[in-house]
Amino acid sequence: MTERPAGYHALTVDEERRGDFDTRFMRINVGPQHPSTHGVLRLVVDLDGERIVRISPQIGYLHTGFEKTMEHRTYQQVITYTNRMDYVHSFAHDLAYVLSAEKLMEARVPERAQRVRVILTELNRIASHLVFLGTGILDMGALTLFFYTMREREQLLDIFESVTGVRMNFGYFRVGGLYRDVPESFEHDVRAFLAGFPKMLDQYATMFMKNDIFVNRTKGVGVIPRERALEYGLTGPSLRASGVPLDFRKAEPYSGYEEYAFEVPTSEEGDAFARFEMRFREMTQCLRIVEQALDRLEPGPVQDPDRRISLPPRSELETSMEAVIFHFKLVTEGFHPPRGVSYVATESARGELGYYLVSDGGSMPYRVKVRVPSLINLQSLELACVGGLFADMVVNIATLDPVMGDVDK
Amino acid sequence: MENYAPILVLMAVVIVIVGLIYRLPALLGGRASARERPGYLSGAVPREHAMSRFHVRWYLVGLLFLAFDMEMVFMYPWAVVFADIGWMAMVEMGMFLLILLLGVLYAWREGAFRWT
Amino acid sequence: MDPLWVTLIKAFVLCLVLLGAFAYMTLIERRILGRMQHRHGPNRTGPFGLLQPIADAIKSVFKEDIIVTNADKVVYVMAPMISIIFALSAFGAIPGGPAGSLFGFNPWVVDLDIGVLYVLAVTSVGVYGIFLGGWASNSKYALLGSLRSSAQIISYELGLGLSVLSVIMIAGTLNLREIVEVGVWTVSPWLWPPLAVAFVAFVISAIAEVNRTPFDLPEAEQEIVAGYLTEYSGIKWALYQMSEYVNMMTAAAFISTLFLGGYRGPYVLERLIPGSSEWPIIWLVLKMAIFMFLFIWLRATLPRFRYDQLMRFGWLYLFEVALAATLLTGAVIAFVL
Repeated sequence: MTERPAGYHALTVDEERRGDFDTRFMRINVGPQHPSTHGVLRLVVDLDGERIVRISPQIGYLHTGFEKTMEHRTYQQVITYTNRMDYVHSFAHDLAYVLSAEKLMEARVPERAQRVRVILTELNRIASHLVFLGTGILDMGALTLFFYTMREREQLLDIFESVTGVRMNFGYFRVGGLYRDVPESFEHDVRAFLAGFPKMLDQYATMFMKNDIFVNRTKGVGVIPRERALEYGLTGPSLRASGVPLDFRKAEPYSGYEEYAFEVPTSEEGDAFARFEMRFREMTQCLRIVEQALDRLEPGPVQDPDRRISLPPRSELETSMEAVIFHFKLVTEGFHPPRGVSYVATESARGELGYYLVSDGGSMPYRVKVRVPSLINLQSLELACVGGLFADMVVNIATLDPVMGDVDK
Repeated sequence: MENYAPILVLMAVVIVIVGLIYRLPALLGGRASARERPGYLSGAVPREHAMSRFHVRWYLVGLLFLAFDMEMVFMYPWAVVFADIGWMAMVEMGMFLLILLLGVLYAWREGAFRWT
Repeated sequence: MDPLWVTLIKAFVLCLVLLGAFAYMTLIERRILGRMQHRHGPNRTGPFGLLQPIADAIKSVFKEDIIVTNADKVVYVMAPMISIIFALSAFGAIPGGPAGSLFGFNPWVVDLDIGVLYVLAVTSVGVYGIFLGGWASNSKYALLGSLRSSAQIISYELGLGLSVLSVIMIAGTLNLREIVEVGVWTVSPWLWPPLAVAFVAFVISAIAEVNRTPFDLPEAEQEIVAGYLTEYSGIKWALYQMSEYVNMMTAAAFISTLFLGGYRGPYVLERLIPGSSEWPIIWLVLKMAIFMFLFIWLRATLPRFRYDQLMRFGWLYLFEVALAATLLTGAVIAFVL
């Protein structure tokens, strides 16, 4: 936090009536009820004219205590909570959690489950970036792109619905695999999306990446230099916009990302335009990954056959006493990972996302700590905003892309 | 002068109609008076008066604007008779604009156009 | 010169027509935006949503009226009135047809020798409504909105005023009806380049004058919530909306009158149906419709300027371009014609 500027003091109503005007900055409260704070972010901003001298984010309006609650749920039940944090890129949270839990359990996830996880997470990443683009440009006053991106996102949500049964808080991944196999229409639906989406991307590009007003509004705005970005712990597309090619799908591959060919777009500018551009170019890479994963999608089981983790199939219950016992144990108290800790860093649409799990050998995690990208990226807001204009602040919030559920947990 | 009388008539009619619209809620709803409540500050209750000093640049730009707006007013009658007078009018206005333009260049050099 | 009672009736009719047009412009705008954005827009109230403006009007009238604590009450109540009164008054000077063409009456309310100045002046005064409204509201967002609107007016006003000069120089009059009768484009092809430049500059400034996207800074929702409108509710809010749309219509009519031959019909049609360019009102309304559509189209397409960019744009581009167009026109008139 910067120093309190000298000479600041709030003028009371009485002082104003006395005509006691004094040299001071205008302190304005933005949020939690404001059209462009992307949820319930609250910012206290000091303005000199329209230039920002000081900005301090106040968070916690959406605090739900997810981490603590998770300590009182079995490992499979925790999944209900993970996807409610970042409701825009839900699958990333589910994936990060199950990867961490699987590391504790040393589970072997079947290949088909891995591929489906990758496809869904990448499609969800596209959906998340679509929300980012639509609302980001809406924050600059252009209304229409929002409706276009929502139209494409709708297509994705339909796919998710056909796979998981819900449109938002999926809870489809399980420790050791998936809840069930994907429906038959899945491949066809995804291919239809893959065929149509690149054209839409081109349309978006002409609508705003080549729009002079948009370029002027974002070029050179909210610059976060490379060194400062690293100091502030920025991750994800916002970091890559500052010139650091850090992507955990490349750096520490998980879920078989090492098998797919894709690029990590980076830019040296570090401004709002670069942050827009990164996400925009990333969507094309997502399409590439999805296409490759879909090509290699072979029929097969979607759950670890290990009876310690997965429920035995229904047919075995009638013939095998052992299966009944496993079933009973799993349903009544869940599984018991060995004592230990685990953390798997994954790349969500917003940056580094990981679940730090501590197991004391019981059926519930002893401690859960979530490394959420939104919260840590939000620290850079001050860096980007101070010295800029009030109108730029909105652009900076949009391009840092915080999801308040992710920030407040 | 009587050409301008219709303006007064128009204004009077407009004021009557707008006044009527303004009174409509009171006439139809019968609610006595407006309710007072603190100003909107996106969720927070304002603890100070909203009015505060403006940046000095507003005044600077305001003055510049005044200068040019006056210049523009001079140019209207000039434009009307321009065709009759011909190139002499052009030269005269050119001199006038040149002087003003020097002023602009000076203001520019001094940074009056750095809005932020 | 009409007798007083005729003027009175014409003023009354003009106001009612403008208010009705405002109501239906909101519907048309929402429907067109809906079409452009893959959605329907209001279509539930009556056929094609035709009753929507009436529902909106009823809602505005019965909505709770709020005054902010410690607001400057007199100014706060007066500001929307200033805005709408001057918006409605400005339109009266726009000629709707040739003299005596409307059932033997003149299709305008006032015919002034200084029509151009009158419209420019009255619409400029209307900005005080916005400025004072935000000023008096005792809300920081409203104050920022009103500061922005004042910054905006001083940036585009010069471009607006200067780009008219070309037309005045060519027509040699400030009377709007005479400007239409002269037909600025028919004077000489040498004048087309400066006129075209002036036209573009004028349209851009006019959009800024009526606070439409991409110049809608005073009410930039994403930044300052609703700007000067933040603390207004009910009928006061409706009056502000009204003045915005009436200003849009005035701007559209003013552009048409100055640059596009106003109430006169197209030349081709005049050859086919002699006398068609003498029909009152209809041509002006059609030309206005084109610009209204343009305003809506821009709103669906463009993001908003930042205010320092707007000021730079106004002072360093619009002003210079308009000045160049004026000087070019002068040069052509003085040395070529």
